[in-house]
Amino acid sequence: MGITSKERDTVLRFIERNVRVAPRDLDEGIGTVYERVVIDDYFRDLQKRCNLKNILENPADGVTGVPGMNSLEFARNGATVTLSNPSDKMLDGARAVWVNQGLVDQATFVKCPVDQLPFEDDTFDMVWNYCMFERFKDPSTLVAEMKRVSNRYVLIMTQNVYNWGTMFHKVYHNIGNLEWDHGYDEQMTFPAIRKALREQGMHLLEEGTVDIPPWLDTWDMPLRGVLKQLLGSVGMKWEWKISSPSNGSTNGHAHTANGHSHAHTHPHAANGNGNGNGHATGAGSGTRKSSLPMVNVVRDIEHNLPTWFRKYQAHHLYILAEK
Amino acid sequence: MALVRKTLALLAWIIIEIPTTLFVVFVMIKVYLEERNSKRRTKRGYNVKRA
Repeated sequence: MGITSKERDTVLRFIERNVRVAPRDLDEGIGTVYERVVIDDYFRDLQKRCNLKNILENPADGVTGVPGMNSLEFARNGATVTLSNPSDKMLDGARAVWVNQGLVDQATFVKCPVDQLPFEDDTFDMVWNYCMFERFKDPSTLVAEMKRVSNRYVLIMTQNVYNWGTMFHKVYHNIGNLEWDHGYDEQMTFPAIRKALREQGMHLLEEGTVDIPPWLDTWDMPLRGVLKQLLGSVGMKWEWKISSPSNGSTNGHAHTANGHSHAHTHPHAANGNGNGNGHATGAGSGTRKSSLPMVNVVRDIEHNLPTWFRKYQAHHLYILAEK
Repeated sequence: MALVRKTLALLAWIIIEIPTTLFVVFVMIKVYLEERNSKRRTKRGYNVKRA
């Protein structure tokens, strides 16, 4: 069956809608910034452990945040990155972000269908995507293509259907009469990802859960605008950036996180047995310290949560597989 | 020790989760109402400049 034309259209609409509402000032909002901090922790560790130098994100996206941001951490730590996507608008947005971050020399932007990649076999050390797998009822052609162009690793990261923010977000779509463009519930689970990877003959290396802050997952709701408005009404300024040149508050009330400064590593990654409870060692650019104490507190809480609880409250699930 | 650490983390998570969830739900309702009102205004032509 493969990917249907309806699914392709829905994905394209979703991506282009996000590009349209994405912040151009890198103020992605509290949830997305925290998500980036903990996912970047995992990426730094993964990049070091697996010696990743050449990475493809397909299809690339920014979801709730800035387009093309997901793979920036790999480039910050020396990798070359290719972002492929069927949308010109997304790629243009991503290019602007990478230029802004001074990393565009390490990036290539390629327009192509998600399951027809214009690359030779075994081109990349790792091929991955973020919250894209679940958009396809039968992702076999996507995963097969990811496997073909990877010389070793494939990483799939999805939403977690069991997170209770899912329910709120569904209600939000229903009452707002909005198209449900987040994919299939049954694909946002470990069994679905495992099945898709195993069907391609891949060996599962590790699986885990990430992004479990003590607040509701709002999916792609643009809360940052409302928060700006709310704080503005009491004379305060909202700012929560993944990359802030000032690395601090702008007027004493703002919250600012700096993406170049995280100390913690080891989001829970498991080796093989899938219980999501492994530990990784410090990696990547090393002595990063978050400028925001709250991020550290929340991250410490996340790292100590019991495995059973993580599986039900994590915003994201991931599985790393090997060819 | 690990059990104590995990229990404390779980308690801390729940204690923070309750008020933040209430706040997020409040914001979600606010976003929804604003979008609905904005659609209504557009539908009635309030946002259309008239000659």
